[in-house]
Amino acid sequence: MISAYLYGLVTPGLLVLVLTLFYISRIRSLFAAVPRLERPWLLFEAGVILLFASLLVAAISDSFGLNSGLLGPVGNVLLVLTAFFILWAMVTMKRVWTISESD
Amino acid sequence: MRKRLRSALRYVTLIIILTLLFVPLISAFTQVAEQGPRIVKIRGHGRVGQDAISVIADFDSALNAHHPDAALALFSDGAVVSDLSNIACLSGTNLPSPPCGGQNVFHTTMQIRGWLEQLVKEGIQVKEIGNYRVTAANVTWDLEVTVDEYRRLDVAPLVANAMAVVQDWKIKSLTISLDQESTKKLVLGYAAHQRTPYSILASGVGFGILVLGLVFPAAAAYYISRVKDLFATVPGLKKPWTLLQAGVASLFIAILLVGIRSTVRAPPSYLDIIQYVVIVLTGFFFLVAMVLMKRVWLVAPND
Repeated sequence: MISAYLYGLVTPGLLVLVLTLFYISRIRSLFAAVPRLERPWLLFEAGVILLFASLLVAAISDSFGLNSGLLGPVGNVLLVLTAFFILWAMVTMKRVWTISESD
Repeated sequence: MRKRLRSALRYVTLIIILTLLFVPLISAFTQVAEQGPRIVKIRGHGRVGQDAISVIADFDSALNAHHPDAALALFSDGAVVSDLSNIACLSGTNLPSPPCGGQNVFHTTMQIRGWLEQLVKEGIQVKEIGNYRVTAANVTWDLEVTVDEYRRLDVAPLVANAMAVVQDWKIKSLTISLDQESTKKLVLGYAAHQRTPYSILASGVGFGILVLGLVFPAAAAYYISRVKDLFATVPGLKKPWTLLQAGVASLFIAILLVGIRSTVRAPPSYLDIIQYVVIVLTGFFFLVAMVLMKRVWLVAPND
């Protein structure tokens, strides 16, 4: 069962996240002329990378039967860090646009 | 016209890619749903003329090899398992509730599967002691049991008594419980491993991280709505931001599931699957949001 959902869930999940990273980098390059906007997109990218890492940790612990007692919390912390980076990205993005408007 | 064609082609490509990605997802669910128990002969057991003993030996071998499906295949329909000492679901005193919710009698195939999977998760190893005693269809035997909890408490292995009714090469009922001396040993083990300041701190830190994990996506969703308002004048940007919000909401649910997993008594494997689905959905929402956003920004300068 583990290998089935490993193949069926984690693999597409990892692919989706890789594609997301690609699109974020494309959007970031579209905003290259606005240097202040690079940071929020980079932070968002970091969040997606952490989400990728969280899924990867789950895949590793399942496929190699590693101690879930140790890897489980690592995956959960990575998930929380993902949320933190996305929050940070959005706060920064809002700040950048607010400053741009007042400028 | 060419622009519209290109746009349509992009949509079709995206739909094809997403379909290809989600076919294995659906197939995984079908596999999980349809996966029937199969008999795997793990270890050969000398034929001593008693079919029942052979079945029990195969059951022990399946457990030792951590093959819950093989072990489940040895149970008949309507079988009952009584794990009177909560070998599978015994929780440490540090946990708020036992994984099986205090349940120790399992009636349905799903419940027995959950019990077997919990035993495997606990790294079970069993070893028969002495001889099997057979009376008609009843088999009784003593065995040494080792699970992670016993290892953690430094009491492994513990001795258990088991009784099974075997009919037509299938286990109809199974009752297992620790013997008196082992029960005492276990109680003493718990007394020796009372909560330490470190374990209290660790659980506190874990709870703190979980709370932050719920606050972060909630705050992120709020900030996305603020950013969305800032872009209200740019047509087509509302949808990507809404999708991004949906992704963050999924992330919130994924983190909420971490908390639920530590408190609710559902079989861990099912909650794992739900959590993976939610994380994959998060990624999917992010991807669609980014694809749409890129498209909007690419179109915007030309307009």
